[in-house]
Amino acid sequence: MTSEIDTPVEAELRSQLHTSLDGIAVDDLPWPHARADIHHRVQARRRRIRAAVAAVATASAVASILVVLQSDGRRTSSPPTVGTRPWRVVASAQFPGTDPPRIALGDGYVFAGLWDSGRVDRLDPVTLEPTGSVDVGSSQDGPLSLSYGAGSLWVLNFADARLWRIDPATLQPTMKIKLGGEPSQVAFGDGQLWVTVCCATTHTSNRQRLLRINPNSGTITGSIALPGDGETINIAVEPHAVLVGSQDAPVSVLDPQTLTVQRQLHDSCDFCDGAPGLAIGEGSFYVTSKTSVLRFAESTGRLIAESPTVSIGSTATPLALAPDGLWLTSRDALLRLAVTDLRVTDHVQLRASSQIAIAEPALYVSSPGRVVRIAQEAPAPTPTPSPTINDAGLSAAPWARDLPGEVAVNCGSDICLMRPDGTGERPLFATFPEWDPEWSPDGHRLVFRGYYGIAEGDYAIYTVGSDGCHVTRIPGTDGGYQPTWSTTGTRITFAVGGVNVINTDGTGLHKLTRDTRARFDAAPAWSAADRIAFARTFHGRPPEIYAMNPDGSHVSALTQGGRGFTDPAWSPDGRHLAFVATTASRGPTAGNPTVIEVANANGSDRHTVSPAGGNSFDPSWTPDGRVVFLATSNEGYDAYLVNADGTNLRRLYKGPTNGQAGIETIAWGPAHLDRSRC
Amino acid sequence: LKVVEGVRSGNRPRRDDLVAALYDRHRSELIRLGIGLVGDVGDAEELVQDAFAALLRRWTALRDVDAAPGYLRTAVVNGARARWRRRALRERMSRLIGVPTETTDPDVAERSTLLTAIAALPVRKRACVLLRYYADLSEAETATVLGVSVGTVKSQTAKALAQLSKSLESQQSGAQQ
Repeated sequence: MTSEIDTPVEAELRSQLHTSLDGIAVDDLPWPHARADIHHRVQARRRRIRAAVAAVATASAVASILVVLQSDGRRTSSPPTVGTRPWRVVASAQFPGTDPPRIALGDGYVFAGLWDSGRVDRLDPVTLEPTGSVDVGSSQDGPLSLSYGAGSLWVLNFADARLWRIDPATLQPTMKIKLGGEPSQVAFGDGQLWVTVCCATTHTSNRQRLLRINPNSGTITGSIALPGDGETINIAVEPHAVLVGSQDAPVSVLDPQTLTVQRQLHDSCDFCDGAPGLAIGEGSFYVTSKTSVLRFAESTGRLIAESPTVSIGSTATPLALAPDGLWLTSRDALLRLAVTDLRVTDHVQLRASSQIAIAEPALYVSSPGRVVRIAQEAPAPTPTPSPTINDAGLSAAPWARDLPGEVAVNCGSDICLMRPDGTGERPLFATFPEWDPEWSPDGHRLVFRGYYGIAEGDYAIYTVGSDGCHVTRIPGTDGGYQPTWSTTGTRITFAVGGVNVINTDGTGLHKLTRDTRARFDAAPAWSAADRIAFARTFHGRPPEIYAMNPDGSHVSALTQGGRGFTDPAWSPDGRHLAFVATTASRGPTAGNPTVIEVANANGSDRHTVSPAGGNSFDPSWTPDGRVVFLATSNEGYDAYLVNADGTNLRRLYKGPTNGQAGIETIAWGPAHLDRSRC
Repeated sequence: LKVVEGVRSGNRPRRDDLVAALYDRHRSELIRLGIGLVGDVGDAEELVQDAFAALLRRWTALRDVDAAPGYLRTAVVNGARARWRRRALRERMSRLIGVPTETTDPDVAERSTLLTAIAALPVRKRACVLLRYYADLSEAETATVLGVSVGTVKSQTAKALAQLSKSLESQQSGAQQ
């Protein structure tokens, strides 16, 4: 309560304010009724945490432990055989949801932790058929990380913030260790359990602690606060060292007994933009950079080998070490490197891998919604594709798996990136609200309108790497919105007080058009043929599409008459234009139905490509020249894909049916991206 | 608040019991704070549900049950900020595709000239006024909730009071004419 003494004015205001607000009737909603809704909101948020923490970072750390040690802590004796026969997927297990299962090997089984189902499945190591199951937590709120050691399966249960010890034979829990905070990953090494827990002190802190736990007694025997961002800490353990990698610090080598930092691998962060993948073995520390794998001497910490440049894409890529091979995931494949000189010796086509575990003569790899077994054997039949539902509740059509590129959508007030099939969703940069995402021509950067302050209007144009790194506010763009890139990716056009052009470094600001009392311009779009289309609204009349040269010359109308056109988007070759067309006017206070139309670059041959009825909006193009747009449905917004001539109209995403907010903006990038984060 | 007292006496209740007790005690006050911030009863109820969800998520990081009301207020204010931004975007999109939206909220506008004047204040000043004179927080407590300095609270509140005074006088003279 306040302790300051009110002035008469303040006292009067306090009194009137209480009278005004307390007089407003608030509907009673008893706790039992509110509880279900509140828990649903908690789970929706946790799905995002899990996507960020577990799918990349946890997989890397656990994989590092799993393959170095067998269940009893002994090193594996012989590696998978290298032969002329190629490595193939020989068995596959499908799971509900799109989350990559967490895998652990032990007692002759493969264990798969299924966040989407709130359970852990025990699988036959050859066929991957389930042989048992144990419920852990609840749906979307359960097993976050798995490890095997001391004859037991260890499962981090996010729902109760406890580490469960499970008997692998009976699948019965035999111990539950209270951790405190939000646990993120578990690993078994050096006869001890190692667990990371967030957050250190307050709700604003993201720092994690590393806990050392005695597996027999369940007591915490040591603890250390870890540096860097808590969501991207990776760990790897062996009897003489614990490796800790975070996104903003060199890899640290800790003494597992004293939990003190022995040294830092300083070269290990020269290339870092995420928590590196880690592995220990062969007297070496192996650390991923963005383009290669580095090998450091365990005894001195000196860099002794570096792999050739490989298309890793993510510093947090899982590493799995066998005595004569180091497995890692690249953008589209699994690679095996020689453990000494790190040259590439094997290559297996496999996308979207998030965890690797080795049990000779095969290796197991988890990817969204499935676990596969890879060996030098004949392949198993390809599983039938089925619709996938991603973390945001979007249901993607099965054929979306074959689509190229990367999709940016809004997730609440932020931008999220995902693969075209809806998998791999991750927030791009969730520090402040962002809108109007547009991909750079090469598909590796985005421009958006971002907020820098708390008041409306406190926004500007920003650029950011697709991994969330290098966020840059472009000077001179305050109040700007609806940005798009030039064909060269060096300039940006945006709207504020008219249409503007600026270099990405903030120089060369040029106002191409200027709003007046009689008209205003918005929604600029830059074509491959170097024309800028935009929507121009004259006072009292509906907007029309115009186009001009990048210097503001040769302004011409592409539409004339009609009930209004806006949001132009050029095809990748600049020969066609998609835009929103209003089809009827219900008066100034009612929503007007809209469709998506496509026309030639000069505005000729206009034709509708979207479904009749409802509202279609936010058109953009796929890299292969199809139109994607959003349309209202009973449950929110759906996304559609259609050829430029209006044929082959298909629903790509069905809006969420779980009460989550749907997509309100969509942009399609040309590059296939890894899951690396800043 | 029996369950909270139970915690202090060593009889530890379940987390949900504590949250239920906090919910019963603070929901109405938080909703009215939300109404003052966003002007709409439905939006305010949503803000408060989200605030309790945030409290549950961070429960294990909450060291002191007494800190929970402050955390809930912060969550409501932060949620309100996000909604203002979202609403502004929708208004801009609507303008472009010809779908006007309400710019003045009827819930507030119909009820009180004071609330209408508060609704016209910029974001931070509005939050300062409501936290200081409705939630009855001290300047220091208000600064903690908003994540700003006490000096900022002082200056923003003083400016808000001046602006409110001017706005109310203007409304009064308009009504007399």
